[in-house]
Amino acid sequence: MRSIVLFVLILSLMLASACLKRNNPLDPSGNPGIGPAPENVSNLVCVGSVESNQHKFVRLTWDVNSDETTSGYYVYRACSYNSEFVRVGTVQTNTGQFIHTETNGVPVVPGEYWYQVSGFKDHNDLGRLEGRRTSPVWVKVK
Amino acid sequence: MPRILLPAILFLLMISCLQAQNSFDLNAFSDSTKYGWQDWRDRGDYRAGLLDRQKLLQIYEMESNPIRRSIAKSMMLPGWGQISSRAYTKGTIILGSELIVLGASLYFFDRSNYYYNKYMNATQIDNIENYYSDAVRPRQYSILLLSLGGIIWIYNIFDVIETTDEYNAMVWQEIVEKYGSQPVNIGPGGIQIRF
Repeated sequence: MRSIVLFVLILSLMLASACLKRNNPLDPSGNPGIGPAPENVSNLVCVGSVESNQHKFVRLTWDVNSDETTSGYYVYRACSYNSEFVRVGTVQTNTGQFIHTETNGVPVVPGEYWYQVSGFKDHNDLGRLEGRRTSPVWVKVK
Repeated sequence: MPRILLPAILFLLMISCLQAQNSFDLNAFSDSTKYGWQDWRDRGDYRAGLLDRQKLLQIYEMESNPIRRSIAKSMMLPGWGQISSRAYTKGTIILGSELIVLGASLYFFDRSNYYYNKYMNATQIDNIENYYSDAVRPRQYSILLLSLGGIIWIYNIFDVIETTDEYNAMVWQEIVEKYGSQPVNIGPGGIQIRF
């Protein structure tokens, strides 16, 4: 009886360790063919407009990733550090600048905001793989 | 030719029968003392005892639990065989633990599938990693619990054999204690005991 119990437990552990396959086509661990995930975006700087600017905006700059891993960037914004970040812009080329003036027709208004940026890579048939977001960066729009 | 063949066969048969009679020890066959019977009264007592034991055996067969049937019951529903052998506590514990373990296994399997579907639809690297690890852990719990359910099921089969044996031994003991010293008569109407 003891040997049966041991056999069943060992069999179940073997099954448990190999039970879930990483079948997501965008998973670099499960599909090495797509290459590495986009690098982390670094040196994110956010500069807000000042009182003299009639149209308010936030200018974001960061270091550009390599073309091999990155096709473009997503820009996210939240009203506080811990609140939910919403995507407010997409940079379709591998460039290190974005000027946020409005989102879906709603202009940027004076206030304090937190921004994040992440890179993404387009894989034609499989979709778009997004990398890690930066830490939130604070900016004040006057 | 056939006229000669038939008498020859009959003659051979007679010879072989006579030979068999010579080799058969009639005295040894009819010696009743070899069974411990000294006279016809002993033989009659022995016969009466044998019939009584046969009747007890019939009662036992009616009241006992066939092992194969108990095993089949426990294979279908763990604990059922024990319950039918009047081991109610043991049967309930086995059935309850099997249901709890399989229910928990199903719950973790469902959680695992929930996160695995999220993993399959994720496009962000953090979500891909997090949803995958969120799916793996409950899947492991699910398989381990399923294995535990299998172990309980196997134990249940071993146990039902032992429990049914004990039950049958108890039934036999009770029958012997109840009817052993009394003349028992089994008929279509049931068991009759003459006092």
